[in-house]
Amino acid sequence: MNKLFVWLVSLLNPVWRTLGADPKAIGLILAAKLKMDDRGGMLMGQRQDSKSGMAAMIYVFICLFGLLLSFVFQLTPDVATAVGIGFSLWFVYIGLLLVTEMSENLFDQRDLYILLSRPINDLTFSLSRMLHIAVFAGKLGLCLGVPSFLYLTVAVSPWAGFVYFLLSILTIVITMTGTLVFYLLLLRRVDSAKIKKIVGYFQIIATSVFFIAYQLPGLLGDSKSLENISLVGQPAGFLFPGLWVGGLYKAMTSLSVEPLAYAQAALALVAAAGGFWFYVRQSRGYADSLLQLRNAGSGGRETEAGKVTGGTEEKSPVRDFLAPLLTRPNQERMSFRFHWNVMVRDMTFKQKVYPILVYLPVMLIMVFFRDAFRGEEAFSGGMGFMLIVLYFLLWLLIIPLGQTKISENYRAGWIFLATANKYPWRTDYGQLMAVLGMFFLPMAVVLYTVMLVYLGSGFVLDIVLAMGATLLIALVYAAVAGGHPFSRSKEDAQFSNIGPFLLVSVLAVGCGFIHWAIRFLPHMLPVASVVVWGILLASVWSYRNKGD
Amino acid sequence: MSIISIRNLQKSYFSNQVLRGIDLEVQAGQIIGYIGPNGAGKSTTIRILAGLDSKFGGEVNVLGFDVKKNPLEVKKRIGYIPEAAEIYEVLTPEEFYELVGGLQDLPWAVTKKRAERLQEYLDLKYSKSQRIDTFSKGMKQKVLLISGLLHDPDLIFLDEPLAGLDANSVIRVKDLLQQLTKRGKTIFYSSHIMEVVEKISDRIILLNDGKIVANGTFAEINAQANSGSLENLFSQLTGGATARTDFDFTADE
Repeated sequence: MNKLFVWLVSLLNPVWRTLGADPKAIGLILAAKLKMDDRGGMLMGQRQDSKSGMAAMIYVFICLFGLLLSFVFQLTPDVATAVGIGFSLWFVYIGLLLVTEMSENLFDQRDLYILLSRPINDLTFSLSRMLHIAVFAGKLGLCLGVPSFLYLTVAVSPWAGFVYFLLSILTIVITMTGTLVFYLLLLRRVDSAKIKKIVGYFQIIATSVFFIAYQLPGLLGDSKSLENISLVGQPAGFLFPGLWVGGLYKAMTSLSVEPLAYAQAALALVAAAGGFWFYVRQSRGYADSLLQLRNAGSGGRETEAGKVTGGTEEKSPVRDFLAPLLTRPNQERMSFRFHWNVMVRDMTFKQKVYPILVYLPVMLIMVFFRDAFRGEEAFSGGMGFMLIVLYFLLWLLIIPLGQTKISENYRAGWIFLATANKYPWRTDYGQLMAVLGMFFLPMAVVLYTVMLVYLGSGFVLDIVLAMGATLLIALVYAAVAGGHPFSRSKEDAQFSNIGPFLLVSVLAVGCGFIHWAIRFLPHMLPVASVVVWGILLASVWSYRNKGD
Repeated sequence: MSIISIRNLQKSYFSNQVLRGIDLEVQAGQIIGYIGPNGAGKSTTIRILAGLDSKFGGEVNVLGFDVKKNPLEVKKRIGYIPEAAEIYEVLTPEEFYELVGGLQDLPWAVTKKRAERLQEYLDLKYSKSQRIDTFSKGMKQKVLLISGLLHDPDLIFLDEPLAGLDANSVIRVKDLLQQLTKRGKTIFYSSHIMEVVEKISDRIILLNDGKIVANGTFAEINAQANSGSLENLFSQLTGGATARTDFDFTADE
């Protein structure tokens, strides 16, 4: 696969040469980068597991998502609009992945001295990075687009399928240049000491916005509103770049095209060409900017390496308040403080986990306020939906817990292998409590308060039972997940938590269903609450005192 | 009694045999310089001795414990500072010591006191809130060194401990190692800096191609080859022939 992409890139060698880049260097850098992507990292002389099987699984999932996207053709007879809606979702999906997963490749400084000590110019360097990201986006696009491509080829015409293929490339170019130019601009314009923080927080905000955008259709209405919709060739077709591509599809496949569709088609072409041109322009000084970024250090504190700087001790009142409440001295507390410190400082962790904090507010809005938006007086979600929201809190524990196994700085995990930790579960317990304190408790307070206000005190026992079950399942996860803290590379960690995640999912669904069922039985809710809390407290006691 | 006892130690990475039957006995209270060319198997040996790799052939006992069967007992009593090790750089040194001390089950007060003394001795200065990612390479190396000594281990394994240190720091670390042996500790370290190895080691072990080719004090080893310096001896015993004067890598062009 990698060779195919390198070959495809080499087809454009005359273009790279005309722009002033070195095509041979681009090909060599790209091939090396792709090779490295496929290989696991080392920790204390042991190679981490190969990820090829997991990567294949991810692509299968993306293909399934692409299959779902192809159903948009069933909603509306206007194929151009369907194509436009499909590509709009591409923008969201690929854009999200570029922002969260790949855009940091633009700032990668690990190979800086190796590459910059060779005679390659800024454009070659910057294009090789962009093409590396393009291969990633291309693989996603390939998986997303195959079902729609097949549908158009068979149901419409082979020409329509071919046009769809070309437009897929155009969509990737617009998405990529739109995202990456922003980063290049930051690199050129913003002080290198601040750039990582800005990028980090931008990624967190962007992920949150994308998530909300995903949820909006569910909030506003259902798929019926899309039936017979026609956007391409209409003023609404200017709203989103995906619809401009739909306009281009119409211009290339139909003889009767509205003038507005031509305008949208032109806009799509201008966006792609302009984006690429702007990217090339912004590539000037790329290497210098990266060098400055490297010298700026990796943390929030900008000091010259080795210099003693003034400053006061970093205080965290919440951490210091919760630590003695939730943990015992020494190993549990050490682990609590260690995890808390890393969780609030490690940008990779923040990027992966902080956006989940918007999940709950968005869900709350969906559940509690959707009816108000629609002008309905009664709550239409029902008790089942309410329980889903209650048990959703579990993911605010499990997702951060899973991420506390992963780090960019995973090689630092050697310390857990090299030290004589007789009680590793105490470290795990401190980890669980840190996640509980940072993510679960604040959200639980918000959720339970809203529920009690909205549904009244009759819902208290449901909250007690759901909370006990959630904590019990989280404890099970902590016990079975294994692995040392922050000791897997993020590249190798994809799907590594799948076993414990599946177990937790099954348990959560099971608990939710049983909870729903026992609500119909008299007196069972208090009995179940006592039983669950009894099991939880006994489990916590035995977990903490194991080996004493 | 030997503090380290190795019998016929063998280790392979797939078809590449790195260690080819090492036998070694080390007594307590010595500084052992473990030297050899790149790829000779030094780091691998140290990892095995530190209980971090159990996939090897032969018998290895450290401080009376079989490292395969009782790695935890070994780790409790040893200090290990790997080569070019990474640290959680978002932490401050104090937070890192808290982590390491906690993993060794040390009370925080003890960890803190020991860390402060070691920092003072090694002249490691920084502001209280300064994170490790703002440190120079030498400062990070000192943090690592301190973290490996916090639990006052009886046996200390150091893989290239002087890498990245300036001349003054090298002197301090050398002094520290000697102070430790005076307190009955054993130091087992690898290094490529032959002058230092020659000067501070009570015993030198030279590894080449997975086998021990020399083992003894510098005087004892030198008596075999009579080469004058450890550098020359190293070169002779590891096949590093003298440089050719007529070498030109572009000759055939």
